[in-house]
Amino acid sequence: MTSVVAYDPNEDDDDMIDNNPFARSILENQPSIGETPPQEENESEERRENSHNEAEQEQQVLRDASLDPNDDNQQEEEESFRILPERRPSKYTLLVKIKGMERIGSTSNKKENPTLIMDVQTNLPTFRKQNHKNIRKTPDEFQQLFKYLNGAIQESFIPSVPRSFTNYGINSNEDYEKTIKNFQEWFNRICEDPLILRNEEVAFFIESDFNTYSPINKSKLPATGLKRKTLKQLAPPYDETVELAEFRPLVKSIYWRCQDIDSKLSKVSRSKKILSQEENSFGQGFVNMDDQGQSHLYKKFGKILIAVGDIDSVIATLDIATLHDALEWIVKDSYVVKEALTNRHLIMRELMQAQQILRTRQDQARKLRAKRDINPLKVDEALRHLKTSTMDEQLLTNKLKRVTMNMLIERQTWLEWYENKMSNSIKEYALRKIEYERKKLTLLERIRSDVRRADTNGGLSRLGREGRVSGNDAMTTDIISQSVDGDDWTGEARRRSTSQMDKLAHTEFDKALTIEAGAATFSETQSSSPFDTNETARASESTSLDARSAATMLGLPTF
Amino acid sequence: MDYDEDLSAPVWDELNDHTSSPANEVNSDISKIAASELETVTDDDENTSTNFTGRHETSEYQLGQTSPEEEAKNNYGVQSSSNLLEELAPEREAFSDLNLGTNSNPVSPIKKSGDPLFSGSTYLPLVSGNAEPTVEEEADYTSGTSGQSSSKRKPQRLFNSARVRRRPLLDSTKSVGKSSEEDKISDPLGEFKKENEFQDEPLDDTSSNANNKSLKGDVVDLADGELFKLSPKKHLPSNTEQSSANTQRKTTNEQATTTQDKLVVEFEIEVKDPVKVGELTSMHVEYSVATKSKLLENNFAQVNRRYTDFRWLYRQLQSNHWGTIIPSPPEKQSVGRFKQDFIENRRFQMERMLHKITESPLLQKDPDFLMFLSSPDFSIDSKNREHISGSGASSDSNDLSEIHISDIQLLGPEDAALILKSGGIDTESQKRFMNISFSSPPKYIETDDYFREHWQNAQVLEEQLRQLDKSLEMVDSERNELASVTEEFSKTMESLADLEVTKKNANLLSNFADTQRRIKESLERSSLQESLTLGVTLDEYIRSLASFKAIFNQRARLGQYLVIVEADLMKKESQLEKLHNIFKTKPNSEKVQTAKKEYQILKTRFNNIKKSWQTVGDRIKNEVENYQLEKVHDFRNSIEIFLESAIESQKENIELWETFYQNYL
Repeated sequence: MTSVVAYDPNEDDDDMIDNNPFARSILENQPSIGETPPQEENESEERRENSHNEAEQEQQVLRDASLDPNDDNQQEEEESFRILPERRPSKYTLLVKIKGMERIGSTSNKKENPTLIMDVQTNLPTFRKQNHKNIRKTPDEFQQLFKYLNGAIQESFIPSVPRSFTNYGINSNEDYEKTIKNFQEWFNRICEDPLILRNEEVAFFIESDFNTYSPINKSKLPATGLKRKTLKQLAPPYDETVELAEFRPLVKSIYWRCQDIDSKLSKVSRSKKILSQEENSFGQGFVNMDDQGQSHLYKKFGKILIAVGDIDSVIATLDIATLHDALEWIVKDSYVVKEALTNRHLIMRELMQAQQILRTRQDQARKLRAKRDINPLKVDEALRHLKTSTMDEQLLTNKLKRVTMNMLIERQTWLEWYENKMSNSIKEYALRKIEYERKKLTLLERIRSDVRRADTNGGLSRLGREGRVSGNDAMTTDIISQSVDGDDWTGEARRRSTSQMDKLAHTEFDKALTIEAGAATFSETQSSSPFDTNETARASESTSLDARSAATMLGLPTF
Repeated sequence: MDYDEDLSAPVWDELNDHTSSPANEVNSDISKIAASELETVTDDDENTSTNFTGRHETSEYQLGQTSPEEEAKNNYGVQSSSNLLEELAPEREAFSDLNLGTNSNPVSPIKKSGDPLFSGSTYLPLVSGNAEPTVEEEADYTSGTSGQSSSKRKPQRLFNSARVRRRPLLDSTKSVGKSSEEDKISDPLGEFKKENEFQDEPLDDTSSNANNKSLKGDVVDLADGELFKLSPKKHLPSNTEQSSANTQRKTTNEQATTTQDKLVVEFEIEVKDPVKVGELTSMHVEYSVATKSKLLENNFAQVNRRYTDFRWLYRQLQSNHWGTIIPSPPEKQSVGRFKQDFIENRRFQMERMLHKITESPLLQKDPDFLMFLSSPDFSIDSKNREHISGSGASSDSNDLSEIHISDIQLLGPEDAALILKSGGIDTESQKRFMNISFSSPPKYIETDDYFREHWQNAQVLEEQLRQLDKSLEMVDSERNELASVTEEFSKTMESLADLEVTKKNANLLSNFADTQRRIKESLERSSLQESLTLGVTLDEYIRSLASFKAIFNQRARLGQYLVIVEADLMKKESQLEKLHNIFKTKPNSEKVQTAKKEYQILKTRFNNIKKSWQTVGDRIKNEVENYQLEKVHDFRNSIEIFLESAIESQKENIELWETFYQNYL
């Protein structure tokens, strides 16, 4: 607890500064501290007496800097550049463009370990040449790199590697696009971080041969395994950087709740799948009841129900693929962030320990000085100890400063990323939802006239709504509530292009419906929908599961 | 004259009180074992007197018969329905007695209670003559008590038996004399009365003659007057005339009632206020059934009924109207009987059942139905009715399509008793030797393709519908499951929003959660909608299909009986022939007579069964057509409603997402 007392923010700082003859000089000397810690070693014994105060002062300065960043922007910037020289604007860039992906081998390999193909362009000195083409990497290698970076660069939140497959199903076009997109996003995030960029391991990763990369340097986390677990059990040390102090519990909550949402969402999806199966069998029940009459009403109705069930199943898949996958990444990422923040806590703990040791060493030295007969050997030893512990303390202090400063920046970027990711995935989710719910509506409306025609006196007229279907003319054509001009149930103008309309008017299951329902009976319903030709049906089918095109098409400013 | 009778009445009553039950027993025994011997004896003894009394009774019967009919014409709904019933199912007269007895006539209470019974028991010497009203009352009482104790069947049979023969008498007087004599002799008291009566006759010879004329003039007046005061002898000359007139009137009446049948009287029925009644073991739910209708006594009735009572009603109606599809009650269910949803659902289904019954002109006038709607102590009344009609309504199997053919209704009470003694039609023929049967009963094979085909169709359809219903139920439960999971999802979303990572994010997430919740509500609504439209229709379809199958079962069972009895008849015939050959010399020997008698019984039995088998078949054909039309209509209607609601909820869904998308993304 002694260390905590030392950091008490309620302490009267100004007095301390006034009374301390070294305070000013340290402030002045500070720019040199970060870059040339060896200077410290040359300092005289007298100064070492006050090194305790000195350390305190350093903390003080740091705190001041972090607490009111607007106080002196110029100085602040200078300060941050001094501590984080990498953050200085520089000419170094790394551009990675993922060109494609190959899934080969066994099913599990296909799924877990596709090969990503990319082009790299850079001016980083760590690279041997500026342009690399058709570099092939596997997610395993990505994982290795991530693992190394996570240990080596404790200042940053290293983005976690995305999953090597999506829930669209590994054979679909959408999966291909989405996986590439995810990795591209990962690289973009990596390239934005100057600390990572400067790490030579990134160059080693890019320049190593296919499937051979493993980290050349060794990286180490402050604590691992059981030790880490035990340390995590302790109350977090006092943290004067409020943002970061609050950030860890926040990230932790995000982690847990997203995980919770994730599991709930997969539950929803599973339930929807089961529902769609039941809907299928319900529809099948109608198909079995085929009345042999001229209208085949039950059969048609059953077919439609089956198709609706299929659409529900598609929706279930899309739910998972859009929102669940995104959330999963957020979960993974927030875990990394959380652990990085834990690392910071561990560094703080180490620093406290170092300060403790330093204090005892100082006391020892003081005692020695008070003694009349001094054993020069003992003095030498004490001095040596004092020197090393001072150095340790300095190193740690600087490290913590760096980490804190960088994390403050990273925190902002991460939150931005989180927000974007979340809203994008929800957007995608909503769009796909709208698209397929509309298709469902189209399907249901297709059978409407058949049901209507079967019985003029039934159904709606019983509900007193015969006005909905005016006379016999209406029965010959379908009433389609979604048209180019918008939806007939809402006053809002939602204009669509004919291609959009075409997409809505057709589903993946049209073919099944036409084939099985018999061409003769179905042709009338076909002709009733305005955009119907077989070509367009086929065209829509080929692209209908393409998430990107659907999103862009539906995402036009019509909504 | 009047005084005489008034005085004598209680005396007879007392006498009857003591003698009736032993007399009945004697009657049943004698009529069974030694009917033929007694017949010959009585023939000698009271040749003339029986003839007289027989005719006298006939006329009296006719008068008795006319009076309710007249009353029916004076728009007395209940009676008209009972008349209709007499036409359709004459064997079931006992029931109408009871019914009329309960519906007391404001004009002449004594006659009212006695009247129908009187008409039914016309040929019974026991209730003949001046003492009739009192005897009848007494008889009514005994039949009532025996009905409750249910072990004493005999008095009932005594009265019911006569009724069966009412019709044959009208057609041919020959057989009547024989059978009435049979009964007469078994009851010495009856004879005594007759003699008494006979002596009385000359006294009011002229007055009754005048009475007779007035009778022709105004039957209603007559009915209001004291019917039993008429001396039987006075009717003698006009007897044949009257009987023919009577039959004519009957036929016109029949026509009138049939047209009346087509008219559906308006009913307003409400099944409401389910209340849990009873302790642990006897706990059940009672529903109050409130009815408004002209067919009811005060145009309104409210009673408490439980589920088993509805089942009883179904069975009873099924037994009353062979070949008619009876609207079926909900299925039995033992688990979760007291859940709110279930009770409400059951209430709804039972209400629908009653509504459907009232929609049928035939069923809505069924006295059992009216009794069900209005009887204050249903448990006793229902038992009585069940006992009298032999419907076995309370021994109710789970399967709605299983049926019970009432022997009483099929063969008439007397023959039914015989059958019952030997253990039912299906076993009777087998029990010849030491109660062990060596041959399997002959099998009934449906010969009419029409029935076979429809039976098969019904089977297939039921299977399909059951499957459909099951999958709809699954869809429904899955939808509810999905709704609850969505709710959870929405809640966790909400919790993430509560973190307020950023303002914008929190806003988006909470709105997303909100949209999810709305989706969940919409899901629940549509699942409720589905179960209310298609689910209910399907369920009803399936249950009515069971009822539909039941009428085929009825025909098959009757056919089965027919085959058995036919086989028996053949056997008897050959036996009789053999006996004829053996006893060529003395054709009147005891053995031949018995065999002849038995053969006769079997023959009438066979004819009876055949007749009902055919009528049931005809009625089935009629019903099937209506049924299919109606059901297909119902089903398509609910499909359309189902589809429309699906479309609407789909639009709602889209709108929810569109709104969300527009506002927050």
